[in-house]
Amino acid sequence: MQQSELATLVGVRRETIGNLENGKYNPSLKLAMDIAKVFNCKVEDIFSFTDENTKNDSKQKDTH
Amino acid sequence: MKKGIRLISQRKVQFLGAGISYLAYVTLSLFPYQLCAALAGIILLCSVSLTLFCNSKTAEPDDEMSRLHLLKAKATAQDLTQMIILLLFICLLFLSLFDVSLSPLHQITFSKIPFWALLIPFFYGINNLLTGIFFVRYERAGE
Repeated sequence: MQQSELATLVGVRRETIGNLENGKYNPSLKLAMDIAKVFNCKVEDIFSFTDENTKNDSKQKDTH
Repeated sequence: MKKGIRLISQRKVQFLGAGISYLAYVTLSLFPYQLCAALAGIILLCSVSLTLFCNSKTAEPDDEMSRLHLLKAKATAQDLTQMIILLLFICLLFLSLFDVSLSPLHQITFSKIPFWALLIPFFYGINNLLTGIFFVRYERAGE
């Protein structure tokens, strides 16, 4: 499926899908659910949560 | 499917275009020549017409990312504009400490338009320009 097709199906712009793929944009819960519905799977199968604070804390610990 | 202009292009015209036009208007209004006044008027008219034209042509609707980026851009632009106002205020306050009259500021404008009357389009232009710059930057770079 092309970005533009998915964008039309979930009602956003192609750029939004592109930024989602590149990890430059965090979708709203509604958009995430809509995308999951299009692919007929769970939200967790498509998106994963990374806590930026935890990541930064571990980086700081590594440097110390 | 009807092909229209892209949202980012519309925003560029709406904010960057308006910002640059208003700043050009302020700059041209500083001069006493009638040609400059006419040119300033034409630039503003063109800017408004182009914005209306682009708004009527848009086929791409706003989505959640563009709305978020616009809000962020407006917030950042407002912060920076407030900072510019504050800095100008501090500078003027500093000048007043040395008992310098602010009336010479009127001499900055050689035209009949008073100096303070140009401050509104100046800050309007600055605010629009910054909003446009930040919106384009957020759209390209992401969050």
